[in-house]
Amino acid sequence: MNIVIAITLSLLSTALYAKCEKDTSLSAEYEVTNQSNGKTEHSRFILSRQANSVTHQFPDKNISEVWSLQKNGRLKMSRFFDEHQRGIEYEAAEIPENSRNPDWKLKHQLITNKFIAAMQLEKKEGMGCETIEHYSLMKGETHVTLQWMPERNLIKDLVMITGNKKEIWMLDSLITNKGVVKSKFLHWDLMQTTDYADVGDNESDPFLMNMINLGFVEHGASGFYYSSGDKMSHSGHTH
Amino acid sequence: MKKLIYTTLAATAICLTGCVNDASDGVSGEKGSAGMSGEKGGQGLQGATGLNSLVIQTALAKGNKKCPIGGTQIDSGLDDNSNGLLDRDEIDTTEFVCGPSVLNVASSNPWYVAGKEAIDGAQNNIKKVINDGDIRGKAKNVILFVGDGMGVSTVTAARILDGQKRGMAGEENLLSFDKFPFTGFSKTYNVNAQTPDSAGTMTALITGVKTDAGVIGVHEDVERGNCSTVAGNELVTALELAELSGKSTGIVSTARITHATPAATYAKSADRNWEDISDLPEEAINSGCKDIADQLIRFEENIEARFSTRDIDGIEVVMGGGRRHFLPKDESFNSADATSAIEGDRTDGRDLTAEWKAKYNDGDYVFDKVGFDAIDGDKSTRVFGLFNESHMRYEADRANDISGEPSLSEMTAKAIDVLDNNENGFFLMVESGRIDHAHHAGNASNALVDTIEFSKAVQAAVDATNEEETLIIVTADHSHVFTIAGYPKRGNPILGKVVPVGSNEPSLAADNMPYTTLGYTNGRGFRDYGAETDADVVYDEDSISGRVDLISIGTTLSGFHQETLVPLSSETHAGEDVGVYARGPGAHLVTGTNEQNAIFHVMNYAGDLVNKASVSE
Repeated sequence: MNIVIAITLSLLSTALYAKCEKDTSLSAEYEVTNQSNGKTEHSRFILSRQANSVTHQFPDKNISEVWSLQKNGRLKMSRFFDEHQRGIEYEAAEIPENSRNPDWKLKHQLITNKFIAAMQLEKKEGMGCETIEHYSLMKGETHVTLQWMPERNLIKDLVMITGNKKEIWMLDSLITNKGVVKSKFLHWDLMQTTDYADVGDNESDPFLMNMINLGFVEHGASGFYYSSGDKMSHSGHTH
Repeated sequence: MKKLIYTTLAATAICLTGCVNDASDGVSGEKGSAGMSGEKGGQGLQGATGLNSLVIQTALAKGNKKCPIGGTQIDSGLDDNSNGLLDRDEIDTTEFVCGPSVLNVASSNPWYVAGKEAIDGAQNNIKKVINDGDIRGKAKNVILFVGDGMGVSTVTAARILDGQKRGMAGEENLLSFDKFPFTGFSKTYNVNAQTPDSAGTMTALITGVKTDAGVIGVHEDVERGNCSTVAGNELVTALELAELSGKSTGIVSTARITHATPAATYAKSADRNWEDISDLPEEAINSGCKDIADQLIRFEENIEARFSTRDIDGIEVVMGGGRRHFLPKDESFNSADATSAIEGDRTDGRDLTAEWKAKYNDGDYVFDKVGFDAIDGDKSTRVFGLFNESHMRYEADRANDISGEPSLSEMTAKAIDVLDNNENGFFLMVESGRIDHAHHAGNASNALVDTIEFSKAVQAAVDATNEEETLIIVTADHSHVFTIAGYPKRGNPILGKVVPVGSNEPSLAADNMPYTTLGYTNGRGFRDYGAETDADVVYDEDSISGRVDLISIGTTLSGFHQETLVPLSSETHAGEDVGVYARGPGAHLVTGTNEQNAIFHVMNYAGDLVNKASVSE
């Protein structure tokens, strides 16, 4: 009887684990709160993944950035302007702030494994896909607490406090239906795109001419950088 | 004044003549041996008579190589054979006393001598042109090189950078096409634009007809973006004329092969951006307009349909980027070189690379460096190379490509290898497409490195062809707002900060900060990405106009982006004339300042393209 229970539990565990393959398709929506000097701002951020592509969506700005990991380890990005249904495709294999050592994890899960490894694991709860690890870190004047879903490689909750500044990321909703996620990516895939290199040759295109004259909408930076193991900068939603 | 000069020369001659036939004293006789306290010995024998020293003066006429305005040649030596004459083999020294020159020091100055030799060479070039007589049709082969956005300042800066990379001060260096015997200027404006774009300019270059910005291979009566206005406005290109006259034809570019410049050689489109069917508005598709990639693959039948009695064999060499426009939007068609999740953009399900292979089953379709290297240019009859899903890499960034790409010079040499198998000759267009893109990104380093590679490609063509039968024209479609400024000293690193003559410290501007020699009038402005070799990394930040303290910035590194005055998200083209450089039959027709479309007419005259195309009917 015990053997039967053990086998059943084992199969159940495997089944749960199998449903929760790391890095599988998903779409996670966060509520982001920034507090500073008594002032509070709220914004939304959506992280979507499919195969070697990741999208960082900034609904408040109508901007979506689709990142992809190339075979040579370099990163590629297309930025979509939902309001205009247009996109700019960047051949740049590396982003400027990360050009010498691109870390795909920063785009894929918003936080590097190195950063998590530097934190103190305080407790672990739940099981299977819903496993949650609680971490904390005090570095300099910054205190960070993280609720991490290791089976999904996903942030559930992140709080960073530096002096009187506080930034909070809370997972609001999670979509794991592959069809829904696929349709989200298809939406961007069907938009008209222009190579960044070609923008300068398209002065007659009103959308691109606007960009040439007025500048690109400032990029929607996302991800929490871990630099040299001793410094973390608040880079999320600074646009 | 002339009399005084002659008198002075005569006096000099008299003085020198006075020294002739002065015999030297004989050598003393041998001293007798000491006697034994006896009588004094007799006098020794008299030595032999010494040799005469002779001097000959020869008057030199005006125009003499050593004394341009005349003078005297003074030869001196010993009369070894004592015949009283200074024979040629007895001359020990030769000196020249030249007539007084208004040039003084200049006449022997290396700059002066080199300049004079250049003019002598130019005179010889003219003599050759005169001797050759009418050159109409003497160019069996025609090669048109287009440096996209390669204005005069770009040529100058690239020339200096190339020289400095090879250990020279730099300014004295010459790029391959700087050495061409004939040059001129081209006025680049489009019919509807003071500062032009590549579509209108390349249409002018390749058809002989100036047209609007943004349209490909069509007359100015077309309305950009309106498919229905194309019919009846199609122009004929030099490449098409070459095909019709039985020559082999080729197109090489580092841009997408469907991009404006290469597209203008073979396509007719109301919009330069209609590169594949997904780029065409529904209305254009319904009206029967074809995308540019489709027109490349169907080039042969399109020409035969247009000239119904003709049978051509199609373009023999096509090499560049832009694979995305030839593949369906389906991941299963991705190549091993894909950088996107889905490489292809075509929404009609067609795989144009497969269609090309089916049509030309003796041809070589390649997408990487290994495939390229495997092509035997002497044996291959047809090559279709698409080495990137979009534009090919910047030359400085080429090593970072996934499957490897050939350089522009390698593609040029290979193209000629394939094309020159035709005894009727060939027409080849080679474009360096990414000079333009690096400038748009405000990155001088990549623009100049690509220009240097462009120069190598031109040299590859020079090396692979016979000047007597091949016309090579090198030009740009337009310029950029790229400047070489300040007062840097000779040999100052062209990508560096301005260091003035007599100093080792950078000059400071009124804001007490150093500045670079190279800069842009507009664009995204300063960026410092160190050794990054991809100019496009500038994308992710807003433009920064005006001044930045560069004191600790390594401005010579490839990732440095120059400062700008006017903040724009993309640096722009400029409207000044561009240079035209030529060698081979008909090259002398490239002279003065001409409308850009005149370049087609040089090629047409030298190759007699229209007549030969008509005769072949």
